[in-house]
Amino acid sequence: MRPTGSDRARPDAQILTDLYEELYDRVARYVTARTGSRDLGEDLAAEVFVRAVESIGSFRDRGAPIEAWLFRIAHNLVVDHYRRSTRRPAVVLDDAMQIAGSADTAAEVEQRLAMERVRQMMEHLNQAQQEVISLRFSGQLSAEETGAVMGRTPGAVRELQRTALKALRALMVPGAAHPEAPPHPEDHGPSQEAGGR
Amino acid sequence: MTERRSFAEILDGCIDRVLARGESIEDCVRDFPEHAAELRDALSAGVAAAEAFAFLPDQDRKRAARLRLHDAIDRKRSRRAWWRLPFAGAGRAPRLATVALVVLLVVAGSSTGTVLAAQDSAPGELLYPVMRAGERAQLALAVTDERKSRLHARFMERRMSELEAVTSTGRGRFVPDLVEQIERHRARAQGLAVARVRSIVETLPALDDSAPAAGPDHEPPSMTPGSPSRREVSMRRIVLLSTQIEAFRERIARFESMVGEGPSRRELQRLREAMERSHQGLEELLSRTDVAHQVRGTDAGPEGGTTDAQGGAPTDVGMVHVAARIDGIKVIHDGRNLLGVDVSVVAVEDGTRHVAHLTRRGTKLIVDGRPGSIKQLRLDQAAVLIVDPSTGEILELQIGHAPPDAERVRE
Repeated sequence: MRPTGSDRARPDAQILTDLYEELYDRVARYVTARTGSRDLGEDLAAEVFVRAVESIGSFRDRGAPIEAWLFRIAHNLVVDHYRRSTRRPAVVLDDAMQIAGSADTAAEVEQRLAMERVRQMMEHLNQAQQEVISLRFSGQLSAEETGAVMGRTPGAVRELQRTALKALRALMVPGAAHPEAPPHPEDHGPSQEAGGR
Repeated sequence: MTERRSFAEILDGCIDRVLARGESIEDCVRDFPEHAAELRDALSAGVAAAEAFAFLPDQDRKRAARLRLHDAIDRKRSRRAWWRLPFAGAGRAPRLATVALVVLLVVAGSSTGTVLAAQDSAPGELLYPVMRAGERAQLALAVTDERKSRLHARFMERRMSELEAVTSTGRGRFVPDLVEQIERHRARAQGLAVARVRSIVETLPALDDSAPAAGPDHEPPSMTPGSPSRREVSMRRIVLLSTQIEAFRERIARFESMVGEGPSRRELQRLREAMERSHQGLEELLSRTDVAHQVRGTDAGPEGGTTDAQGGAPTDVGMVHVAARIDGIKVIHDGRNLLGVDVSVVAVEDGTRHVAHLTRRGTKLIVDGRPGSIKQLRLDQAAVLIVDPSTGEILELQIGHAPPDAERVRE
């Protein structure tokens, strides 16, 4: 049921509501990865779909892959957000205060802390590297779709993601072993990791 | 350089395997031993990044986003309808003539399509009564209760926006009418949405007392054939409505602070109190329905025993623990909505296969002793099933602490 280019014959409203059901979570995660703020991520995700209503004509005219088209809207919103906001770190701080004061479950707090830690590491990457990791891993786009969003060839995206992951890994080492990385499958308590700072 | 490039491609393929197909990093690494270390490092970093942001979005905000989307679609439709009017076809037909004809058509009780042209009007404007007449026509044409309920909720939302506009601009004379309209739409939306679910809840024999079900063949009515999908629809409608009404209550409180003491403020206060009662009623119904679903498939025990299954500590007294490993994960959806995940597991001891249904009211997922998310599931993970011996029902799927002998079943 994933919406594809072949769905162009369907009514706009149907395409948009299907897209919402399918992609809202991924868009929210992508924007969160780019901005470091979950609140902002969810706010802007809602805005992405409202903008999509206005610009679905361009999707029909250009025939871009539909996921890439939607994430391009999200990407532009993130860029707009940064242009408007010169106090970038303040957003992260707001979230950090929420962590301290909210009645979230311990699991949610851990999730937020892990998010914060990775986000801080990602700040050390360049914008293109951050974008490729966010689109690929949080937006779950393919290399081809990522390329369509970023205006690069799939080959360039693959090379970029290689250097981005290498840089990210260097920031995570030595403590940030993944749960599935041998030889300690159970080693994934976020609180014991030092992070890359 | 070419070697680099080929590694970039290998890595990309592995990312797809790990992210999209749920394979483990080691599965990939095994296939490319010459790049083992580099692959493992890169994939670990990527997966850590993916997991850090793999939160489940807040459901209330998600619903609000859906409402915004539907609203935006409606607004666009109404604008488009304006230009599609038959008599506007000759390029730029005079707008005034169109307005006059719209009014004429509505007075004559004509089609709702034309009325859409008036949809953005505000109280006091020329076309505002036209829009309201159009809404009544839409309601009259709606066939199902579900559709009617959604329309009432949408019109309630519209009146709320109008109320916000008039209170923020000091046009208090419109307040009483809008308050009455909001309350009327609220009552209808709620009445229609609740009717079906209430009948399900009220026919459950074991809800309000601990009387057992009628006999061994008796099943609670919530299990009636074919009902789950429609019931889910009704339940979603109520959850949505309850969220909407709660949000309205907060908005009205804000409006109250905008207007000074006087009749408008009293009207708003009355409306807020009505919203509060309505929200409480819906939440109460939802909690009763939750209990109804938890009774399903068990012996319809007393409420105290069943509510425990909602999120707290595992109720494993007398329960059977089965060491197992996850061997399949299947997402269940109806084409549009995620309904749950079926996790297939193989028992370590005897190799028997079980399927745990991770749905809103199915098997609980516990990761490291806490409620977990389906994102944390991976193939080959060691798991423990908590099974109710009397019914065979899987109450919990626990992952995160490996049973002592889980390792040996891997190969």
